[in-house]
Amino acid sequence: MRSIAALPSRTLVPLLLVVFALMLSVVNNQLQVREYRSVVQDEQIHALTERLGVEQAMLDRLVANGNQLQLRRVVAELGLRPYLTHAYLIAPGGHVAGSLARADVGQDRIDRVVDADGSALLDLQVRPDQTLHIERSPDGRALLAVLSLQSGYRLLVRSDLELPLAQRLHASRLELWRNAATILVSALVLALFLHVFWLRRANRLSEAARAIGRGHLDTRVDIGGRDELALVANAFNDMALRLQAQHAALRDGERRMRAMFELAGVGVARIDTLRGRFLDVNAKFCEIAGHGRHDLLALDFMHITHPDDLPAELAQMDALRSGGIREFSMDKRLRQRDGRTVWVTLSVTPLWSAGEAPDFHIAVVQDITDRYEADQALTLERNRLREAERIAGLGSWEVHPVTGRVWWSAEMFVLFGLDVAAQPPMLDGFLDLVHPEDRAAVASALEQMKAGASTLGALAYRTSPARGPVRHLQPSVQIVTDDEGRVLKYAGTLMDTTEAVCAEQALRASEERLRATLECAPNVAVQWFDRDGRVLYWNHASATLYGWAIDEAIGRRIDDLVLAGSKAQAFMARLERIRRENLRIGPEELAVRHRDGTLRHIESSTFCIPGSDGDPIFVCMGVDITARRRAEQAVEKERTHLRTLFAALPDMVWLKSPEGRFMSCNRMAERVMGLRESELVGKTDYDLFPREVADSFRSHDEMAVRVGGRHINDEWLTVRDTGERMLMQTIKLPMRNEAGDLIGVLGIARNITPLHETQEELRALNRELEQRVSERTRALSDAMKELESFSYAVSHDLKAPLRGIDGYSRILQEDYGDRLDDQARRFLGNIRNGAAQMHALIEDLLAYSRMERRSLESSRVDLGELVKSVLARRADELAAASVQVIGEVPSLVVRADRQGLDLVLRNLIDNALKFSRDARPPVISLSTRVDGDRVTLSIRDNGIGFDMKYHERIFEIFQRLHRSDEFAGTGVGLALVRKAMQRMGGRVWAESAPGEGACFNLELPA
Amino acid sequence: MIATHLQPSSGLPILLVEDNPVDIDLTCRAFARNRLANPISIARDGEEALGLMQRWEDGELPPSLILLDIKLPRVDGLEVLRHLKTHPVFRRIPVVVLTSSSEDRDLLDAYALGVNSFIVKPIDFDRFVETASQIERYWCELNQHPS
Repeated sequence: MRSIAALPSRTLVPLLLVVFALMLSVVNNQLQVREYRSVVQDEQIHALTERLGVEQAMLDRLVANGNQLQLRRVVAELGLRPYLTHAYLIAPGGHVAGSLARADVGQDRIDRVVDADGSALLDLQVRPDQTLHIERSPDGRALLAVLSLQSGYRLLVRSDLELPLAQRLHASRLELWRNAATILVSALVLALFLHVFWLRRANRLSEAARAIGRGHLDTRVDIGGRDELALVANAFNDMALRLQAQHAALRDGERRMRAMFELAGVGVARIDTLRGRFLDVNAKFCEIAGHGRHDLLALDFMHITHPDDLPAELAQMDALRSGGIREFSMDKRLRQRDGRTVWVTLSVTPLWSAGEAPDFHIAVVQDITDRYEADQALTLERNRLREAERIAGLGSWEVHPVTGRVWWSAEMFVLFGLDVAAQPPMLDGFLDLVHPEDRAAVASALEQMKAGASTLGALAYRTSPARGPVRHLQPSVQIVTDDEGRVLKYAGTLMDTTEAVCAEQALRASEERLRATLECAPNVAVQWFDRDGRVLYWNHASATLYGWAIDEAIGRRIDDLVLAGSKAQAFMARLERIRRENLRIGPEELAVRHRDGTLRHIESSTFCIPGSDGDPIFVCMGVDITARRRAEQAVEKERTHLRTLFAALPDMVWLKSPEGRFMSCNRMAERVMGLRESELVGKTDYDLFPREVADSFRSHDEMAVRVGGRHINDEWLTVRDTGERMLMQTIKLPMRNEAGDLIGVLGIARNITPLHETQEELRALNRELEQRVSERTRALSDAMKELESFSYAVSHDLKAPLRGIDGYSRILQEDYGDRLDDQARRFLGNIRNGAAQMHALIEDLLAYSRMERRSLESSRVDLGELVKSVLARRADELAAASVQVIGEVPSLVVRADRQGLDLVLRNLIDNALKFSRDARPPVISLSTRVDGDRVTLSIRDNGIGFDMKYHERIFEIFQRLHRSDEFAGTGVGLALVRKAMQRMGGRVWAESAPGEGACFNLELPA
Repeated sequence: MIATHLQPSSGLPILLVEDNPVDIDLTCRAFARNRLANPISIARDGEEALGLMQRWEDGELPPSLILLDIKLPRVDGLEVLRHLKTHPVFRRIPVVVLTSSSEDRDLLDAYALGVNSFIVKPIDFDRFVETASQIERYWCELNQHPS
């Protein structure tokens, strides 16, 4: 649609006309065809009705006659009628009695023979009141008819409509074409007319309007005619004429304006208010701004404005844009292209009316650099003068007595504490500024001025305390008179003398303080002498130092006081020399005499000062250093001692500065390093040792400084002269002065080579020893292991045969006893005894070996309790042998292995039982003794005892003092006791005599 | 080799694990003196004893008591004990170690493995007979244990 609308009307209108004509032709044609169709249908219905009416009579008759053959023929003949395509005669039974096709006749049912075109025939019904019924087929292409005949016969007929219609159309085709052509030709003629007489002229008019729009004001249009279009064209020509005249006037005005703009003495620019861009600039503006016109037109005003002035201008522009102000002007700097800065006065006027949106503004600039610089220079001068006055504390003033006018320089205001911008007070008001005490004098001076006095005194006065700190002012006046001697004006200055006045007062106070200081200085003795050596001044410290009171001393001569004879003369000579050469002597140390005759050491300075009457005064200042001197002597003495010690020390001692330079050393160090102390001082480790050695020494020094205390290290050193290598144990100690500053690192080195060698030997010996011990230990542990497996085997394998021997002997005794004689039975008894003895031996041996190898636990064992427990377990045996047990063992804690001690006690009790069996009654007595940290338990029996010469043997294994038939035993028991006691850190010993019983003592740690 | 000393008894057998033929004989005699109700079967070493365990698993009747010597050839008594006492079923069979030695080491090991009793064979035959009688009376008559 849019593309159609875009077509010019001179094309669109004819196009629309042609389209309209075409559509009209088509519609006309359609209507015509529809009319033909209706006509053809009516004609055919009419023809069919007529025909079937004729046939009906004939068919009825033939039916009545039953002439089937004739019926078939009549039906077949129907096919001769134009457009009739189907005809069927249906008998009452439904079978086909006649048809156009011979083959159909005789068929039972019509639906078997009818084709697609004729199928609609089947649905046809005749209403009861009619014999003929005709209707259009459902697709409209044919007429269907049914005819009821007599005796129930029906005739079905189909007649085609398409064919007659086509014939009719063909006949009227020419007429249709003619109609269409007529419509089209009329439309084309109309379109051509419109195009020529209206649309082409309208186009020319619109082109002329477009040309004017493009600025061709001389365009005119002539399209002829007198219609509305021609009227519009005339009005257009008038308008173009008028526009042309106005434009010419405008151009003229603009040329004048442009000339004015360009030639104006000030810089003018039109600027885009929103972007700040220059839209128009005149030559003067370019000159002031120092940019070419083209450059400027590419720039904005912000670019050429000095950055310091820009914020102020932007603020003004904002105000202008928001309507806060209507215009503004300001002084600002522009930056020229070559970097120079010019001062301008800028005036900005908006080009938009109040209330409108801002668009452009006019900026007018005027170069004020010269004026500005002159102002600056003037201001500078003024400031300099003012600064000079300020520094000098000097104000200048003028008074015109005739007019009463007063002028003050800025400093005047400052002097009186007034605002500089204020007006100077008139003469009357001036008095308020003056100190009340000085007002009367100043008032009279002012009166004189008013009266025009030709002489004036320069009266000093003070400012009023009401106006800040009081200032002392010293005026000076110059009087300017005319030729006749009349006073024209008083001009003068006013100087601030406050500082000078204050200084004088301070000096006076200072002198007082100085005297008091001299008087009271506790350690500094000050005396003044005149040239004859008489005392003029003698302070308290002098009185203390010399023992002469102040009033005793003053007026006396020096030789009466502290110096005698030649010393006094020398003193006098010295004073003379000081006076003559204006010297200052000292500080020097002097020995002086106290009034009580003792010597005092002083440190004295002597100089002279001018006296009031021109005579010099000699000042002696002395400090009593007697105590210090004595202390120094003591220190010196101590130092001598130390130095001797230092020198004689067998160790190397030296002192290095924090930078590593030797400062001092002792003789041993000299010897080792092969240098005299004097040669060593100032050298560093790097001068004496290879670099890496020196590095190491230095690092140890630094380490000592870092840890802030003793740092010890061992180092090998080669003696320079002999080449002997020594291991030195070196102690480095940082030295600090009283203030805590590092003054050096002290080094003390001792030759520990012999010690080192001894240690090395010791270490080697130790290693060897350890190795031997470990070898022995291994051997011992191997032996122990062997012993262990040995005794394990013994305990298993030696016992089994014993059991066999005893078992079978016993069986022999029991089962075969009656078959053996007495001797054989005795032998068997001996065999069994032997086996029992062997078993006891094995058990004892195993116990002994266990005692040797098992690890003992040292725990706290209650001896009393353990003894009780052992006795309880032997209660039966003890009772059987009627043994008396005497003595209680108290509850004593000993350190022992419980099992081991149990074994020991059992053996000893068994022993006592065994050997006292013949005593009547056997007595076992127990006693204990505590001796420090040892506890001794004694078990005494009243048995057979033994000779003490066998004392050692009884504790050896397998050693027995009795035959086995006297006392059975294995000879292991006591050996076991001794072994156990040894292993528990105790001991056992016996006391006995034959027949006296035996006492076994056990000693254990508590 | 298994030798069963037939005894007129209906009780379950006692298994003796022992390698020394003298000890076997003496032990059997010692038990025989007490007119033992339980038959004694014998394993000659540890391996044989372990082999028996397999047969018990296959359905053979296990013994009511096991008398175990420690010092055995090949697999020693402690090893046999370990197998017995870690077996889910046979661990219930009481095991009495019957040995010549009274070494602490053996005693500790045996109890650590869960032995029921540890008895040192007396050398004296009379006492051995008495010990056998006590063992039998205690373990086969007095003591109740799950069947």
